[in-house]
Order: sequence, then C-alpha cells, then structure tokens
Amino acid sequence: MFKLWKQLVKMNIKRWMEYRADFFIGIFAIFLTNVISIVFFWVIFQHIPVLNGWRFEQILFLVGLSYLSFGIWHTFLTGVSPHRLERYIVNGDFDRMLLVPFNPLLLLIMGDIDDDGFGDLIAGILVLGYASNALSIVWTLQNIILLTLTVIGAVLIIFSVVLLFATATFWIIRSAMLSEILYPLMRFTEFPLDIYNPFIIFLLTFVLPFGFINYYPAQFFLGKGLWMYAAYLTPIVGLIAFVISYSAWKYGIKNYTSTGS
Amino acid sequence: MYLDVTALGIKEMLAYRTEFFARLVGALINLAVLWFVWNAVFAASGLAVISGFSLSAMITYLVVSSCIGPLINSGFEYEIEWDVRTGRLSTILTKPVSYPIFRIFKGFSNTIFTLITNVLPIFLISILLINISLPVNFLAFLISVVLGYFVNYFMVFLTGMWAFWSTGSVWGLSLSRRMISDVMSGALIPLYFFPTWFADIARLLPFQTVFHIPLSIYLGKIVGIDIFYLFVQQVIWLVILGFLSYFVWKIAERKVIVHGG
Amino acid sequence: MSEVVIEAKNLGKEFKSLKRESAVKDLFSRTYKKVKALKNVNLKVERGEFVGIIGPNGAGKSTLIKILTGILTPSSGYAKVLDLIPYEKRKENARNIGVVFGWRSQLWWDLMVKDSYELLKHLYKIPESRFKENLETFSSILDIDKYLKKPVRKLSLGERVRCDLAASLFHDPPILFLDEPTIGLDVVAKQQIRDFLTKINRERKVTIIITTHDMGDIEELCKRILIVDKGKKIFDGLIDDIKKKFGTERVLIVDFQDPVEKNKLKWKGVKVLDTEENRAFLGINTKKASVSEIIKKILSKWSIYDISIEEPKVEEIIRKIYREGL
Repeated sequence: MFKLWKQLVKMNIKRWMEYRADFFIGIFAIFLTNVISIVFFWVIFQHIPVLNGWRFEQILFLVGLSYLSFGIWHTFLTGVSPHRLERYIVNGDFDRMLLVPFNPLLLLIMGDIDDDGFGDLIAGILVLGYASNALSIVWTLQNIILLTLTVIGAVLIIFSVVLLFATATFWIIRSAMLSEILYPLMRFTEFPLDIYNPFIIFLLTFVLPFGFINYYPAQFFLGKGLWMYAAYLTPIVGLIAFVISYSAWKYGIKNYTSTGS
Repeated sequence: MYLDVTALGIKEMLAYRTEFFARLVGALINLAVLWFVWNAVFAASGLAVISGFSLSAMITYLVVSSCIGPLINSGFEYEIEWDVRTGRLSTILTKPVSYPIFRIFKGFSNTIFTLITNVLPIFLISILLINISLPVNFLAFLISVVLGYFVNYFMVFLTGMWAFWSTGSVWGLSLSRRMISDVMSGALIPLYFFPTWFADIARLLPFQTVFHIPLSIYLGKIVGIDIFYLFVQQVIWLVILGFLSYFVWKIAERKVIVHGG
Repeated sequence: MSEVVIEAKNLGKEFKSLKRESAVKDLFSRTYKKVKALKNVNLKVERGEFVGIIGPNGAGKSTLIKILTGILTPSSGYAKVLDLIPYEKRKENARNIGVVFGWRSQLWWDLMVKDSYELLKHLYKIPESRFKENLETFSSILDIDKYLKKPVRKLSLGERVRCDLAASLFHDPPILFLDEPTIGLDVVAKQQIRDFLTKINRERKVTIIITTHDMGDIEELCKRILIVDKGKKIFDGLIDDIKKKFGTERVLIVDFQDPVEKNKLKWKGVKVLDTEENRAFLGINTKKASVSEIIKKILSKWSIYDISIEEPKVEEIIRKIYREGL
C-alpha cells in the first residue's frame, strides 16, 4: 500500500510540474486568503489594544494554529469532499472505485493531493512561528508533543466533518451545495470562541467540534483561561469524530450499493 | 435578442436553485460571524464611534457589503473558461453576436437571479432582525452600485480572458483578484479604518469604486455635490477597463480564429 | 462437466424512482414509483463460456452486471461468482474479475497510460514479472505500445477501450465482464477487440460476459446468448439453436431481365417482400417451401441476371423475439 501512495505522490508532482503556473498561482492565492485575514486583524488592532482579552500576537497564534491544521487537511485530505464525490458518482468513476480491491475512501484521499494547501501550510508555519516568537513561547519537548497531537486531532476533526458532509451525497446527490454551508461554518474558527454567544460556543464544542481545532489548544499554549486543559481533548475528540463519520460513510456506501445510481 | 440570453440564463439557474439557497445560508452564517466580531471590537474599544462608525453603522456596512458581494461575484470568469475549454466559444463565434455583449447579458441573468434569491433575503432579514439603517440617498446609491457593478464586471472579464492563454485554470488568478479586491475595496473593512497612507493608495485603484463608493453613499459619508465627484471616478474606471477589456478580447478572438482555440 | 463460475438464483431488483411532477409540487412532496429492474432471473455460467447478454435499453442488463460485479445489492434472490457473493465480499470478488465499461474508463484521466497501469499493478498487488509478461502480450495483440506514453485524455475512444481492456486483465482474473465495450467504435477497432476477446477466451479460458447492442459482437463472439427484456430473462441458449428454431426464413433476391408482375410470383410459403424495378425480394418460409424448388420454378419461367440467398440476421430474429415473445 505504501508503494501505491508513493506512486500517487509521484503522479501528482508530475501533474503539478506540467501546469507549473497554476501550481504557483494556486499556492499564492490561498496564501493570500490567509494574509487578508491577518490584515483584518492588524487593522482592527490599530484601533483597539485587546479583543475580548486577546492581544494581537495571541490572535496570530490562534489563527496560525488553524492555518497549519487546515493546511494539512487541504493538501492531503480534500480528495474527500461533497462536490468531488458528487462528480464521481454522477460520471461513474465512483462505481469504478468500488470495482477495485481497495478501500474506496483511501482511494479518494490518495487520488487527489491539492498543492494549493501548501499556501495554508506556509502561512500557518510563518504565522505560528512569528507569534510563538513574539510571545516567547518555549517549545519544550512536552509542548512539541502536545502540538503534534493537537494538529493530528485537529486534522481528524476537520476531515471527519467534511467526510460527514460528503457522505450526505449518497442520499442527496446534489451535495455540492453543502460545501456552500460548510466553508462559512469553518469561518468561526478564525476568531476566538469567546466572542460568540454561549449557544454557539456550545455548538462549536459539542456538535461541530471546531473549537478543538485551534481555540482550546491555543488557550493551553498561551496559558489562558479556565478551558485550557480542554486542549488535551483535541486528539480524543478527533478520534471520536472520525469513528462517527467513518461509520456514517460505511453506511452510506451500503445504501449506495442498494439504491444504485 | 440579447434579452433572450438573459431570460435563458435565468431558466438555467432555476435548476440550481438549491445551490443558491445554500449560498444564502452561507452568506448569513458569514454575516453572523462578523456581527459577533464587530460587537466584540466595539466592546473592546469602549468607544461609541470608531473611525467615524457607530456599531450600528458598521453592521449596516457589513450587511450592504454582503449584498453587493454576491451581486458582482457571479463567477462568470469560470463560464468564460468553460466556453474556451469546451469549444463552446467557437460555436458562439459562428453566430452573429458579440461575445463580450453576450457575456454581459448572460451576467445579467446571474445578477437578477442572485438579487432575488440572495440579496433581497439578506437585506430583508437584516432589516427585520438587526435593525440596519436605510440608505441616506437611495437613488445615488443605486447609481453608484450599477457603476461599480460594471467596473467590477470588466475586471472579472479580464480575469476570464486569462483562460485564452493559460493551460491550467483561471481559479488561482480569480481568487487572488478577489482577495486583493476585498482588501482594497473596503469590502473587508471600511477604508476609513485603514491608516491614511493605505487608504490614499486604495482610492487610486478601481477596486474602491465597487464597494467603498456605494457604501459611503449609502451611509451618508459623502453627500451632495461630492457624490458626483465619486460618479466621475467610477465612470473613468469604467471607461478605462471597458476599453482594456475590449482590446484584450480582440486579441483573444484573433487567437481563437487563427489557432482554432 | 465444467465448474459453475457464475450463479444467480431468483435474482430480483427493485428501484424506487422519483416521479417527477411539476417543479412546484416537487418542492413540497416526493412521490416514488417502484420499478422492477430484474424479475426472478436465474443463471448458471460455466468456466470458459462466452456469454452475450442483449436486450433493449432499460431491460436490466446493466443492473444484472452491476449485481454480478458487486456494486449493487439485489432486492431478492442471490448471486454467486466463484463461490463468493459479490456484493457482500466486494474486495475479494474484485480480485477475481475484470470489468470494462464501454462508457467509463478505469484509467486516470490526466496520467499517461503506463502510469495508470503502474497504479493498477500496485492496487492489485501483481508481481512485477507477471505484470511485465501480460503487458507485453497485451501490447502486441492490441497494438497499444504507442499509446503507453500518452495521457488518457488524448486517446480516441477506440484507443482508450483497448487500453482499458488490457488494464482489466493484468491481474489475471478468471472472469471478465464487459458492458457495451464496442459502443461508438469504428469497424477496425471493433475487430481488434473481438479478436483479442476470442483469443483470451480460447487460450486463457477466461469466462467472458458481454452486454452489447452490436449484433456483430454477438455473432462473432458468443456461442450462448441471454435475451433480457423488461427485467426478465426471455431466452437463454445457443445462437445455433436460435437460428435453427427461428431462422426459418430465407430471403431470395432475384434480378430479372424484364420486369415481372408481382402476382406471378405467388407460391405456397413465398411472400413478396419488395420489388425495385427488375429486382424482387422474396421471403421464403423454409418450413413450407424449399428454396431450391422455388429457384427452379423461377428459372424455368423467366430469364434472370442474378440470384442470391440471404440468411436471416440474428438481429432480425432477436427483434422478432422482442416484438412477439417466444
């Protein structure tokens, strides 16, 4: 299986080099979207010293963390998305995936590596690096391990939520529209959760656990607030989210094979 | 005859009405996030007015900005790309129509449909739920929106022209343009919030004619004779970009006819 | 007695399909109608057979193939392929079968053909030596060497189908399913594919199931055909049997020197199908009249330039079966 992965990575790199202009423009465009966010905060902080108890550098840490996790997801895991799955089902490619002795979910993931995600990754590393430097965060071994686990958990959370939305394709078919709702929902992670009302905080913690992507972990690393120990939960939440989504996915395939296309 | 194009376009869009509804939900979610953010900003500031904006003026600004956005970002640069890639362009060129004019009228169908399904609902919901203010000078506002619409139209058209030369996709360029526009036009944050040096530069660029000018008129930041000065700016950009678009189109057209697309 | 490799018993499949009413009504409620795509289909295929499945569009052919390949579950009855239930043991079954859809390739669109082949080699865990052997063999028979370095999207339909065919067999599956493989192909490409299929059926004893609309495929390739209509299997037997049972008509084409009146050609068992100037088309029911006798009668009465006998095409026989049943 690893050979297959290596092969697919080679294929993708070939493809990127073939459309080289697109490769760079895509990364740049995504990088730009994150720059815009930073500009937003920078302008705001020209007028206020602190946003709900968050200083500018702390906000940077918050969003840097999210860019990093989203970057990994964006690059390696967007093979699974509502609009891609819809396309494959409609043109018959999904049936072809079921005819191969391989897990179709893995096939979907490995088939599409999105170089645009590098824009998020680069932004994340830069912003996180700058912020942790400005805040004098000490990267002890313990912190590094926790960061790694946090990022893994965050990526799992993002992937699981998207997988759940994608699974809806088996029932709705025209699921591409779900992306129109999903991506705005992700916007909530751009800002610290404490600016929202309690109901939304509840939703983002227990229903769509986006809060665990960057908010709770950031609280820990920045040594803020009562909720900082919730950061330890991120990998666990990620695992639970994945189990739920994967079960739904398996059920979705079962339903798909019994209703045809 | 061109009006038939518009009518047909609207019919096509009816098939995608669920996508438009989803987009409306997405826009409302986005608006909700920003509502919380600005409430937090004003709370943090402790001032009633920041850079000449009260909280309610800011919220109004956000809502109207969210209304103008979908109106102008119809994604027709992708339709141009589609025409080029699938060869549909050649079919259209065999007909006695001017492609740019055809595109304008097709764009109208997008705009009308978006107006009804997205813009009006957003506006009405906002008036009912969060009590935004009405335009100070509705007629002037309307004129500035229309002028801004066309300025933006030509910018998007030029982005679409990239499809004739690139082997990849228009997406990266389009996204980059949108991001830059969002910042420079005041869509993201009113130009009034930026440091003067930045705002001065932004005022020299065409982007501000799309958001900053109409929004300033709406909120009564510019009144009386000064409004005409703004109209003049918009018209100048309209003419410049219009000519540029036509010029580039002519080169592209020649490329297609000589090289067969 | 050869082993049974494919078995289907009382196979049935029901779909719920949306009844589309007006656009407004559809917004508020959904009504479904039940469609029986397959009704009580029974089937046994032995190793090495070459079976053709034909039927009008919507007859259920694709549904049957989907169930046998494991991507659709039946509503009733069961199917077994090499002792595995395909829709329950999808992955294991996938190793035993090769599938070619005429309308959707299994190759990656943007990649070169050989890159797709490499990926398949990894997916099916094919040993390198065996892969190389097969690649060489298939390349030469199907003449696809020159396409190996081309991206799939640049291939013509015929080229792509040939590449797909090779791809489906690298892992040496004992069973090959083909769903409309020759659709839209030119004569040369069709012939190449037919030759290839005949060869692997004969030499490698690959059991082949092919659905097609093309009678040429049927006549050249299949000894046994299944006729499916409205979800039911209405015929299952050898082509020769069909011809013997139903192919009792011959068409006599006679070119007379001078025009002949139609009513002069009336004999028992003979029907005048058409006349064009000096040419007459006569349908002879061989159960009621002998062709040689009729020819003698014609020659004794008139001078002719030319005379020829046509056997009924399988296509016409089958069309008759669709229309009139058995």
